[in-house]
Amino acid sequence: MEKVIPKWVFVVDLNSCVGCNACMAACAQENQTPYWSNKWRTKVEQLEIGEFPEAKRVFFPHLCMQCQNTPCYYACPTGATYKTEEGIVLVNHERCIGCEACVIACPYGARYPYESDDVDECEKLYGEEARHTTPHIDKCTWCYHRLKEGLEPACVETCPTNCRMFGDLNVDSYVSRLVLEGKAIPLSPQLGTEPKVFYVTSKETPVGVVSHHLNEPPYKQTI
Amino acid sequence: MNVTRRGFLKGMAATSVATLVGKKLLTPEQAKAIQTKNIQYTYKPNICNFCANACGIKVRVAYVDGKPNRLMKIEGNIHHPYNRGVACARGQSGISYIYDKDRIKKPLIRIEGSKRGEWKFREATWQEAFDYMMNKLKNIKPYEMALMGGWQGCAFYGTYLLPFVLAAQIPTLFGSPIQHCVGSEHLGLHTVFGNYNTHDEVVCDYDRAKYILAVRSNGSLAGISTGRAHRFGAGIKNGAKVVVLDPRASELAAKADEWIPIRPGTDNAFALAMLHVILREQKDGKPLYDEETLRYFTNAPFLAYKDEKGNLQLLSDVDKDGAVEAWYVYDEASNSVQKVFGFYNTNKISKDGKNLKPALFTNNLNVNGKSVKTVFEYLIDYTKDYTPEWASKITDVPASTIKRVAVEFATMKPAIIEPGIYDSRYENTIQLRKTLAIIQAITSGYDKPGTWVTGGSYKMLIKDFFEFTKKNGNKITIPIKGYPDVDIPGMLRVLDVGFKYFFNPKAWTHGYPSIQWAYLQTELSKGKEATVFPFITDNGFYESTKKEVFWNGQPYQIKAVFIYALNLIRGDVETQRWKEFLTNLDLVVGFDTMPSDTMLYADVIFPDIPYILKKDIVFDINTSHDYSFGTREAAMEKDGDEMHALDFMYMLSKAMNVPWLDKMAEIYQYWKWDKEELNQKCEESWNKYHTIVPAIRELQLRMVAGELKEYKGVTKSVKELDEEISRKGVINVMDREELMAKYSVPWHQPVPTPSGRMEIYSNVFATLQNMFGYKPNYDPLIAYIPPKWKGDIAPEDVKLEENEFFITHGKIPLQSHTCAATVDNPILVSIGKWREGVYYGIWINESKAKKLGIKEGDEIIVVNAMYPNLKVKGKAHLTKLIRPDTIFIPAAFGASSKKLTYGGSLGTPLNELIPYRPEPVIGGYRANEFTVKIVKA
Repeated sequence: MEKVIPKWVFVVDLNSCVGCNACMAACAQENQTPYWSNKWRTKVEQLEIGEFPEAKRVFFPHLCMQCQNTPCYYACPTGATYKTEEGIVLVNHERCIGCEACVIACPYGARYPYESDDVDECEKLYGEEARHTTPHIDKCTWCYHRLKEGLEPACVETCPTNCRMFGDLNVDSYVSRLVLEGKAIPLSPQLGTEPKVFYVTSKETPVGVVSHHLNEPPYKQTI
Repeated sequence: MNVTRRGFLKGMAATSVATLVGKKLLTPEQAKAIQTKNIQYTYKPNICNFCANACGIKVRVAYVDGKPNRLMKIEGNIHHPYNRGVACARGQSGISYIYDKDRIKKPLIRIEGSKRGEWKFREATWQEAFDYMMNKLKNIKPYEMALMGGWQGCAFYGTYLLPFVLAAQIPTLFGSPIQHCVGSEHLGLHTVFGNYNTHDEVVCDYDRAKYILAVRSNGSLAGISTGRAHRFGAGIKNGAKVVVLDPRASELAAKADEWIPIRPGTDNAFALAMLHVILREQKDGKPLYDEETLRYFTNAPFLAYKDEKGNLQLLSDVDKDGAVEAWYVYDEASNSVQKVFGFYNTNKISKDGKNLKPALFTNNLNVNGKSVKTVFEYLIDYTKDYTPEWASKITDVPASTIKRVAVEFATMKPAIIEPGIYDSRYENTIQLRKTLAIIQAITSGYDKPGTWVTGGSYKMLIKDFFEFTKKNGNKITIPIKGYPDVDIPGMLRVLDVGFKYFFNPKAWTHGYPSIQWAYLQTELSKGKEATVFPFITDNGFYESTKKEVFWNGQPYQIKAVFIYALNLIRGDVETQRWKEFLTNLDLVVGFDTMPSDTMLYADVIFPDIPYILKKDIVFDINTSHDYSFGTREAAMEKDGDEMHALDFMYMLSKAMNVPWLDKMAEIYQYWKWDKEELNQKCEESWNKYHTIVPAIRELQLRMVAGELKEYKGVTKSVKELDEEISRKGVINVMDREELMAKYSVPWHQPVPTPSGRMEIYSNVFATLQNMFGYKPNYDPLIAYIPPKWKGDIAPEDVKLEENEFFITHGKIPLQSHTCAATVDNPILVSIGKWREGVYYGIWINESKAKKLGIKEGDEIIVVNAMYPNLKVKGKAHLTKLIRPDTIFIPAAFGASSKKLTYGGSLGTPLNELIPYRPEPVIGGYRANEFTVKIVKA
């Protein structure tokens, strides 16, 4: 029998994100990311849209979009950035020379440098279980190591309001239907990167509006 | 739950060490060691301790070559019926608390010659620290001691603390402080529904609700109570309409279909106007309230009259012991006055067995020489003037909006008014909550799908109690006679324990009541007023050390306190007062895990076992709709000299020679233990393991086995159950649907109010009214109490100066009151700092701030305009998400302990801005009932 390769998709329902940041805490520990240097693989952006009393507080979770058409992958000069057969974009830590071309190439601000001070701290905290033993550019992997074991990404598993959801387009599910029926849409599709993170737009704040706000400073600077 | 992750590690970490390009290079030996080590992960179930929700979690532990090596991560426990496998940011961050270098791991004794508050401690052995404490206690009488416990004590071990204080003859217990904990938040709800379990909110069935109305309450949903948020998320996805009243856009308001930025502190005007509308408007020719529910399951049809003082009283027959034998109703079926049972769930049958149809409306009725009307008719009278137009002027919300929300709430059923943790407080908070509870009751939103749903174990407690009352003539006395005190459900337990012990000098061999009660009597004797229901409140403590509390004509003074997981200096208001209090004591004993601002004032500190390293007793999961039990497994060996709180109590009871376990067997029969056996097993366990936890747990699991046999017909040994609960963390006895079908309240059995019905007219408040004279604060029906921001100026007439604001406070998702454990947590601090303004700042409306020349991050001073000596510093956060006339300060910050490395200096200590000015019922802090002025630092 031919092996069926999963078509993983990540769906965020903006209606139910309450901005609790559980995803950030879960990811930071699952992936030993340098929270001590204020660097995160996933974040919940907070925006204020409109003026009081009509002002809206918007929570916007974001993470690596695992683009089908992958700017960071093309930008990488050493081949450190590679894609798994499922299309998950990963970084080979040893091959990465830290040139940051990928950081610049990524239109979603999903990459950051895991610097040598961070490696020191990681090893201090996690000892022989440390997963970052050399400086490199780091990014969200959708918890690829968990996926391979049949587990959801850590942020999805813990999301208190189930706003983060995970699924396989090959399998009929609530998640895959949201994507296939067009109820969940990508962020900034005009960039042509074909992201695999899809947002269920909230009643009050269409993704387009969020996208417009996110591209303004200080967003670019904080990532 | 064993998962091997070796493949991953080998692929990503282990092979990389050989070819490192960075400055860190492992030796070949180290690299080889890692490559050849067999790393496995095991999960241990636990119960989160980072807020009072007590979510089920599991802790991932790395085992290297078969030995536990490191705690890795926390996940939600999928078996847990409350949080269903999810965990919030706090819950996720527990590991770094265990590895927090600030955590207390050894007993500490304050160095001789140092002052309290300085943090000059030396490490000591348990024996030395214990002897030090016992030596100091020698000259202190039991009634001069007090136990002060935070919510951990309350939520997990409160039921064990009570027998301890009774056995030790310590009449003064202090919880949390109760005033900003459940007391002033929820007393109003309890008076209607009688619900008062350990952390007494009911957990609503948000999943199936069509309408969710929240009055602030950020902490109970989005800000965040995980099990509730989980259901709330499902409710949103299922299309529920969410309406939130809050002067600022909290996390919860952000999720609202309609955010109503109401003027702070005026919610009770909004609620009364809602009630006004629901009692008067109709839809399709039918009233908006649920007539059947009111008639049969509330005391709305009870006949009431105004006594000679003008106080509203219920008509009743009282027996020689003071138990109400009968209430009066007017029966529409027989057109006659009939009597119904004193304590029962329904008014469907009369005391002598006739089927009734009690009237909600009467006509010039005269009974026993008194002109009477139904409670319902009085309710309609009382709400006459509270029109939406009236409320609009006070609340700054259009009358049409108030009216629409009322109609929507009563017609888009099932509908929920969020009953949980509440955020800011005013004198009117209790009556506000009572009005909201009345709205919930009269629209029949209780213990049904999509409404407020009571816990499974709570239903079972009521079941046993109901059987007892049926055998005793369907009536009860308060205090309750002939029933184990701790097993009494809800509000009735609070009344029982209050009036039987804490408020009763005769209950104690030394003849002293609690300090709170003595303080009340002292004040009353001087013609002054004080908190009339001081149930485990903070009233009188400070005054006692100033020799201002008397009993039998002598000064009554607290001289020693045991502080368990309580951060008095940060959790109570007016910090200076509590620093002074602690400084004036003869002995301060601390039992905690972190060097919180309060622990600085201890003489001796005993290290508590942090939850992740704790093997625990069994708990009934009272937040669960199912009837289930849970426990904690130690994820790894404890890493210092920490001790379990119950073991500390055991040691203390032995040293003081007091019969703690005997008393436990006497008043706490939930676990069905036998006095001799309990003593014997605990002694054996203590001698063998130096802990009594295994003994208690074994006896508890025997009871669980009995319940499984009785309700499921399943036979399991204690050993099997121990294995199961150690693995899963949870044992489920009965699921929600079965419980709802058999034991829902008040539909199948009483609610634990004094009458057993949902009480529109509160018998608890009537008792206070009759004991202490009328006050609107405990009006048995409803009352409007305006927020007193500027003394007696009516809210609609208050004018603010240019730099003057109202203030509101509330919870944020990253913090809770954990005695510095979350405040000092490096992960939570990192997330918080990332959005520093939002989480640590003082929120000011952006355009207003600009007028005052304040920029984002500016240091500002907030001065209490009513008490200008109270002021705090902070950083301005400019936002569009708050009313221009209001500022917001997040709760639970501003620690000043230099021993807290990560979060010690962050945020604003809100409590230093709040004057100690308890409201008259349960001493609630009027935490936002003043205005503030903002000055640039």
